[in-house]
Amino acid sequence: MRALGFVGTPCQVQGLRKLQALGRLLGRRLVERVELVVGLFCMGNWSYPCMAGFLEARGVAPEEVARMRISGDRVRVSARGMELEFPLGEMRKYVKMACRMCLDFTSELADISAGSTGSPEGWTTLIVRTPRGEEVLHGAEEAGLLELMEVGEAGVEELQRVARAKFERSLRRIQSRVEQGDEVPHHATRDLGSLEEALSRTEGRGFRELWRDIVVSGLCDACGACSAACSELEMRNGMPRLRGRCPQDCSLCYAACTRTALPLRALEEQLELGELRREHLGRYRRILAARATRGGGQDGGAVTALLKFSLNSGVVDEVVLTCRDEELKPRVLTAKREEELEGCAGTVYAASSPLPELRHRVRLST
Amino acid sequence: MDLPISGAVIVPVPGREDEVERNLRNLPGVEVKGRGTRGIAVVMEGRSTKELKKLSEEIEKWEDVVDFQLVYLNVEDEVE
Ligand SMILES: Cc1cc2nc3c(=O)[nH]c(=O)nc-3n(C[C@H](O)[C@H](O)[C@H](O)COP(=O)(O)OP(=O)(O)OC[C@H]3O[C@@H](n4cnc5c(N)ncnc54)[C@H](O)[C@@H]3O)c2cc1C
Ligand code: SF4
Ligand code: SF4
Ligand code: SF4
Repeated sequence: MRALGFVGTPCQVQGLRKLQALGRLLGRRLVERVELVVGLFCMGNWSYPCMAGFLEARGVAPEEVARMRISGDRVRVSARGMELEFPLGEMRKYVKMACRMCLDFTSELADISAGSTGSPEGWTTLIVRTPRGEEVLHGAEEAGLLELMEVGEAGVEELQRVARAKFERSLRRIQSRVEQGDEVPHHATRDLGSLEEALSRTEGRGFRELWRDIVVSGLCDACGACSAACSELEMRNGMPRLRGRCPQDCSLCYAACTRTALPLRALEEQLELGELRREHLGRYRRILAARATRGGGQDGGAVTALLKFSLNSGVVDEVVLTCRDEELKPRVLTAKREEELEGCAGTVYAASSPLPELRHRVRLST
Repeated sequence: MDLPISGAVIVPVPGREDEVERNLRNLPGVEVKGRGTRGIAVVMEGRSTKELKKLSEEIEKWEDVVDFQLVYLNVEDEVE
């Protein structure tokens, strides 16, 4: 059976962890042998038509974009050999509704989390959470792929400030929805002690209810966990769609979705997370800055360097990740070679749905 | 206050395109953006997510509608 690596946003990492926990609970093979999970920091994301529309309205064709980055309150775009800058506020209004109610900034359930916040430009902040995260970080440094540096208390405080700001903003929106009589189950189930308890709330609900309670309600983050759990579903435009038949007595997709129930504390218990804990940063072993010694990346290129080490050293045989296509659309790819990883370096500011591909790789390798 | 907004493509039963488009144009909060081979593109706005959800559910139920494809679902910011 091949060992898999995965890179994703916090919601995608949550989807993966819930599928793993669900698989264990039901005694079903859903996404086993995922040996390394790299989570990104994430303040929000866009559906592709909105991101592309934003650029087009400013005279930039998505296919012309060489590089795009968000830095502070500016969106920086390199296109046609020019550097363009727009206020982030103009793009922020197109952020997916689900992101407005998302409480995780730093991928609290990853083996190792990565983002730019907290580090100087050209470096990646890494939150090392599990022994596996520690192992690949150490290995990548030993192999000369990564250079490390302390972020210091100021860097950690900056990270915590940003994570808290996201949490509090999302919480305000969640509370206002709850006051209007709406349910926001991923918030209501956060502190439940077990997955079983969380799942008891999803019993008897199938795809019809998933569509109504999560997708049309604006809670769907496009992770694709539902489609990974059921082959009758496919992801279209970042939303699950039924393509086959749906028996009356089934509720697997509803159970798999992180937005119908997310017992965060119980999911944490299933991982070997470090003993340090800071509010809104989750549990971890250490926080530091890293930069790749060769090759590029969005920030310090540390994610790609960690993946290269993991692939070359046999920690994983392949990695499921998100790349961009020529039109800047997110494309999920399974990388088996270093060059493929390098081709996926950089951030795509549009939501992908990688979990069905991850499930597919698991199926192929067993 | 939140101002939710969504984009969708509505696929009518073949031959019923004009009728569906007319009905969409009559719905408050719905703006028809155009008609293509895939269906009728609309932008929908509501005063609350609940209102927008109701609107989507109503259109989905129309007999002349084969498919309702949600393309995006955003919410304009309250002052942050
Ligand atoms: C939507 C989004 C929003 C982000 N917001 C923030 C933020 O607010 N603050 C912050 O500090 N950091 C944010 N990040 C993380 C940041 O952009 C970098 O990914 C991170 O700093 C790692 O940089 P690197 O140079 O080490 O990564 P690289 O070596 O360049 O590797 C980047 C990795 O990200 C993966 N990736 C790219 N786009 C996506 C995507 N859409 N979905 C899933 N995976 C993807 C690629 O597959 C690649 O493996 C965000 C990332 C994304 C995808
Ligand atoms: S829901 Fe949105 S903000 Fe939250 S992790 Fe996913 S993409 Fe990022
Ligand atoms: S058959 Fe698939 S889509 Fe239907 S309820 Fe079961 S898991 Fe969901
Ligand atoms: S409905 Fe599916 S794609 Fe959307 S959040 Fe739930 S599991 Fe993810």
